[in-house]
Amino acid sequence: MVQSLRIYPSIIALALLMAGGCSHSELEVYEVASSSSLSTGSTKTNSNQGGVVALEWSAPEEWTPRGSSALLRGHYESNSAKGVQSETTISFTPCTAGDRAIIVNENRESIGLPTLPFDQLDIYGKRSQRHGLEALRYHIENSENAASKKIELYMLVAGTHTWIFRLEAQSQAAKVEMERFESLITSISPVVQRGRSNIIPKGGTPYISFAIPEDWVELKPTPPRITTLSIKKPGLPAADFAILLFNEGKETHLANLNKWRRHLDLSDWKEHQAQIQKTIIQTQSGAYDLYHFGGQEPSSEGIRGESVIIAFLLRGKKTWVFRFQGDALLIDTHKNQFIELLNSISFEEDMQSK
Amino acid sequence: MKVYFKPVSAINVLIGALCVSILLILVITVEQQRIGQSEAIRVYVNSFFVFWNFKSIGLTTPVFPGGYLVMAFFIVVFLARLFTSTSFTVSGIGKALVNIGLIVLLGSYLYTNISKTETQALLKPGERLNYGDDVHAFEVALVTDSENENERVFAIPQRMLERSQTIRHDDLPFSIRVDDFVLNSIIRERDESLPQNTRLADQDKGDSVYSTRIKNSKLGYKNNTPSVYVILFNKEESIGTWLLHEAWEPQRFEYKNKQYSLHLRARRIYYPFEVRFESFEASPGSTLLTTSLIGDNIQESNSKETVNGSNHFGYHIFLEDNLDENQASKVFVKRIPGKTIPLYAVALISVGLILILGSSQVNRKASPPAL
Repeated sequence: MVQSLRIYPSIIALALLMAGGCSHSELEVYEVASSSSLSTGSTKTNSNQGGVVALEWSAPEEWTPRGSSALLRGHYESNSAKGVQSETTISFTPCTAGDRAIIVNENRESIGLPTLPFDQLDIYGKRSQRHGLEALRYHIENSENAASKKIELYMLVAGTHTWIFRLEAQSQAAKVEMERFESLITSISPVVQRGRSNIIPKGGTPYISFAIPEDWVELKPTPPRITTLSIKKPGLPAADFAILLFNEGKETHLANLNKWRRHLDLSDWKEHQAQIQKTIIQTQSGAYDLYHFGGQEPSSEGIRGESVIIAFLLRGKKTWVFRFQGDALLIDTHKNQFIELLNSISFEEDMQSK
Repeated sequence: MKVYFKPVSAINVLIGALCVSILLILVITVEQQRIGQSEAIRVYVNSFFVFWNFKSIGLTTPVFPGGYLVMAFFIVVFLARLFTSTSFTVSGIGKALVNIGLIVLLGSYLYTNISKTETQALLKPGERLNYGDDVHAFEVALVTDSENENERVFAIPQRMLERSQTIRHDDLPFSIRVDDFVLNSIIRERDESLPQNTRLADQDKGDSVYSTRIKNSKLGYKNNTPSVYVILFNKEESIGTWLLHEAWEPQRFEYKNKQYSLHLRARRIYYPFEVRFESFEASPGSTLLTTSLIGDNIQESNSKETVNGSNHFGYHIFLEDNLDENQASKVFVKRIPGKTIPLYAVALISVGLILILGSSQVNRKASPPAL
């Protein structure tokens, strides 16, 4: 009897162990900051595809809001005694590159312009980066019919979706309305959501725009590149142009120069050597420090066929880097185009101050 | 006291537990051919019970002890042996150290496996996040708006999906029944090849297709594409049946003037901090990866600069070097508590074994040779 009693604590211990071990799964309930605020117009893409892109903007005071919906995030009209001067719509919609091309062509057709083939639309539009998103801009105007409406399209590609800002202005008010539209575009900023939620773009790339030289082809940039352009000539390896933004100032320029020199098996420069080699290019967007090395320059390994042109532009505490690298012959013949590109650069902050 | 632990500490009990372990290993060996290695380990080792779904009677019930329970039982046995057989001799202390070492070893495995988290997410430079996708589990998220403009999330864990449970919550105007969870599935159009007795959804994306089980991925748990049927109902009516598939976007619906969305996704784990992907330099020959951690206050002054592969707040954070076509990098955030404990356990066992062997050698020399 006593013997049988002794086994009870063990049985109880085992039973408790089994009960505790049932791994009771429970419904988990919690709150996160909303990822679909209609007032600011935001959406959440699949986390595997990149994250949330929520935008907000300020519409010019002269424009009258006309309500919004889930798809039409903003709708404004500008009225005068002569009637409606302009209409601006802001939509956020699932969009592929093909869909964007169709939208541009539909707008062209609406003012009597012929549609453009898909590959020509890239040249026709202006590409840049805005808040880490690809920005596309199309000015649609029928030069043969001065009285026709003018359309301005500004698209921000956010993963599977695209923000489309569209202005349609009457010709007589086009200039004023374009300026107002410009102020709306410059006011666009990502919404910083607080709380336990989601991926939020913060500190996105400042807006830079430039004219892409003829024959240069834009490629999809890989981070940290903001832009990648390529030049191909038969029989020669492609030359590569990249725009990068470094968080460091002037103190790292020499280190970066020497890093790229080492890629060409060239010896490091001392500070005074870099100073001697530096050319300053003054443009509307600032003074660029230009360095050109490689190619015919002798090195310990002999003569390499590659050369590099690097331009540094110091803005605040950050450095914009414009690197042009490739076959020495190709780089030499396109150096002028590279400098033209530097001349065409403008920055968002400058546009705002103007 | 000793007398109560005696039955558990018996050698027969230990052998019995060993037999159950061997049987479990045998089942895992056979099952990993069918369901894949990672799923076999999850179902048979990293669980307290092996469950079986008796579809004919609509019951999911435990049918065999899982690896965790066997390990917990071993801990009880070693504890009992520690209480019953410890003596203050060199050999006795050695045996006690071996028992303690084994308890710590098994306990640390249980603790580490139950509390570890491994997540991944895709981030672009400049973006930040405070959650990741669990690489070992999925969940169904029912999301609705809350009163303070937040989103209220009701996350149904994978264990509940597998057991075909009915879920009720005071804040929900309906009950949720989850059924036919399939770890790896493909979606087919409904046509003449539709198998008989296939469950069908009548809402949204699932109203013209059905889900079919396919072999589990051998490329890792996360490469499976699960599906599950979700039936919403209340006392008065059946609201509808949704088919959820991991590759699909959330499916939205309205019920009693309130918006809801249903989504089958990787289990979302929130960190007590945010990871910010500062910069990534992919220039030839040198790659610079920098992440910043920001505490709950989300103030710049609280941020900690860290290089790739650092440990912060008990989490190991690193970025995958290669970029995918979305131009985003994979961020891994792992928390594996107690990962160094087994080293101490092995040290204890080693010292215990040395003491036992040493004492037996001394005893052998001390005893007179047999004539």
